Amino acid sequence: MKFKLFRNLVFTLVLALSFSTLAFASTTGTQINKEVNGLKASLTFANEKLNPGSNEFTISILDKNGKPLPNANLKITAAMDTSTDMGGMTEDKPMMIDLKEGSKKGEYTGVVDFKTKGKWIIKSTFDVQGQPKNINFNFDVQSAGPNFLIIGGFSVVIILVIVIAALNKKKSIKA
Amino acid sequence: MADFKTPLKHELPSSKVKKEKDLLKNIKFKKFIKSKKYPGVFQWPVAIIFAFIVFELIAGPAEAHNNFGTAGTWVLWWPLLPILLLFFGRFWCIVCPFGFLNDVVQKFVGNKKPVPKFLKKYGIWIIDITFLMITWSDHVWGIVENPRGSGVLLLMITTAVIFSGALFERRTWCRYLCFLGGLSGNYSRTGMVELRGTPEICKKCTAASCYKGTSEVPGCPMFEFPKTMDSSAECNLCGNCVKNCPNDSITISTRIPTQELWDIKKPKIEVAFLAIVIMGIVFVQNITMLKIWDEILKSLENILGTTNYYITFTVTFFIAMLIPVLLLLLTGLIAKKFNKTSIMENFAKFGYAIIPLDLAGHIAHNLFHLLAEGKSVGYTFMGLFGMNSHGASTAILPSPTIQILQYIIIIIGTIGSIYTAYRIAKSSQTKGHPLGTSIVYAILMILLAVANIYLFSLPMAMRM
Repeated sequence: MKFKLFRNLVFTLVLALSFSTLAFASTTGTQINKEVNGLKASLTFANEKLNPGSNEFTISILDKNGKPLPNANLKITAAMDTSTDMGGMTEDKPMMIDLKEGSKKGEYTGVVDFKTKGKWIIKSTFDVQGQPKNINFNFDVQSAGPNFLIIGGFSVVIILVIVIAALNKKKSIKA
Repeated sequence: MADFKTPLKHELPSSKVKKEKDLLKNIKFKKFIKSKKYPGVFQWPVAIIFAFIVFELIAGPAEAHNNFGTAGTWVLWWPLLPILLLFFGRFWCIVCPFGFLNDVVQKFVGNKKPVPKFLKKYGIWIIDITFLMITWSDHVWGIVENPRGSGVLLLMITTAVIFSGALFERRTWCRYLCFLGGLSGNYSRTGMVELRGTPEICKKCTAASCYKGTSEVPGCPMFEFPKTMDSSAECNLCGNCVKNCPNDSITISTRIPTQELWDIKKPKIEVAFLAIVIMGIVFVQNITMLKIWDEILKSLENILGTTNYYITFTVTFFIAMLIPVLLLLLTGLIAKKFNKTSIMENFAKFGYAIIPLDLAGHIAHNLFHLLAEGKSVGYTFMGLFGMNSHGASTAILPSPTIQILQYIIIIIGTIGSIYTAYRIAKSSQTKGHPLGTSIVYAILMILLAVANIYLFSLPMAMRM
């Protein structure tokens, strides 16, 4: 009986701790595709919803044949959208994002740190045959709500531990 | 439980044997400690605030700078904790909501099983490893900067505490498993308060109510026996022994900071290891908050040939932990020439001398967060009522003033560590002069202090 109780409690604890990893898990990504002057631009975030904090993204800019642009000199900046800002409340300068080459040709990855919730613009600047071009991506960064799966998971495990312990205590008192 | 409250009035020695500094001589203080209100009067308000903080972390704003839970936990409580430990020993542990939760769960559904032998034997090592893992996780997943991450951490601890309280006796969690308890135990050794039994009285006592408890009050929740207790590392000043002792043997007195470390009778490698890795953790905390961290990271990426942060940070973390450990071992090797003691024995003994500098480093690092971001506690609290303080400075003091305070604290900690090393050398060395050993360890302390001061001189990033 003692072993069984111990085994049950350990099992429930392991279950509880394993829920913690879910807090950092995401489901599907967020993708925006744009076509400007025959150029195909695609910006993909790993997370389904964009929340304040660090968000990893992949960007690719291809020509009309789907091939990477030679000597594109791609630069990415992120800034809050001030077009709807009343009286210039937002003073933040655009953040320059460091890019690294991705797994495919013409693909780059980077991390953008959205400081706060609201509308953000990610601006890509690049060269096409020596001429500077830019494509903007608009995003709505939302404040992340509570993760009910995590809260529910922990609550269930805590209740289980308490119920098992209470039953065992009752049995030992009777015995 | 049997009542062991049998007084030994006829055999009691005179009150002269009691320490002069005994705070329990103050009748009002003693009455308060012995009353049913203590420690509940502290536990309940803290538990209510804690519950609200957990709610804020898991359901409040997702941005750290808007979340009262983040500000309350990492800007207020975490920086204040080492200061509380210095002044009041492990008093925080009796107020701690996790310990209180353990007591409540135990009262209603506790099975009170004895502590498994492996926990008794390897408890401190488990604490050491957990502490390292949580620090590592914080840097990789951003627990501190992410309210949801902090919330999950608190929920994990809550679950583990309920598990421990439901299954095991007393405060098994606090004594053998809590990583904060391990840290608090180490810092409390330098603390200014100590609770002890009076040897002349205790030696005649056979009741041991302080440990076993009485029908009214349980025994020591931390498995301590005041009769033989020579350290404040595990005493949370719960007052149970004061309430239970039929002979008024217990004293609570003030002492000189670091005094307990001067004569450690049975030094433990795991305690020394925790002390030295805390120094490494303070280094990691400082380095990753510095603006040069990005450059260091880029260099590491080039050396390792990967941009994977898990790998680059793990390597940094490992090196930061390894350097202080190797330095302490190396110092032990040099000191061996003077004190003819083995390297591991020196490691275990003189590891305790690092604790004052650890504490100073911890206080100094967090002083930046407390004083440069302290107002965020008020702002986020106002935010709960819809009041916006967007753009307002969170600083209580200007950065140069905070830096000077940090340097002063490190210097005080270094003096404490050097003096402690000298006292340990003096009390443990039978052959030769302790000066040689003391100088060797003084050089190590100065080296660690210089590294700390250099890191504090660089611009640091904020938490909020």
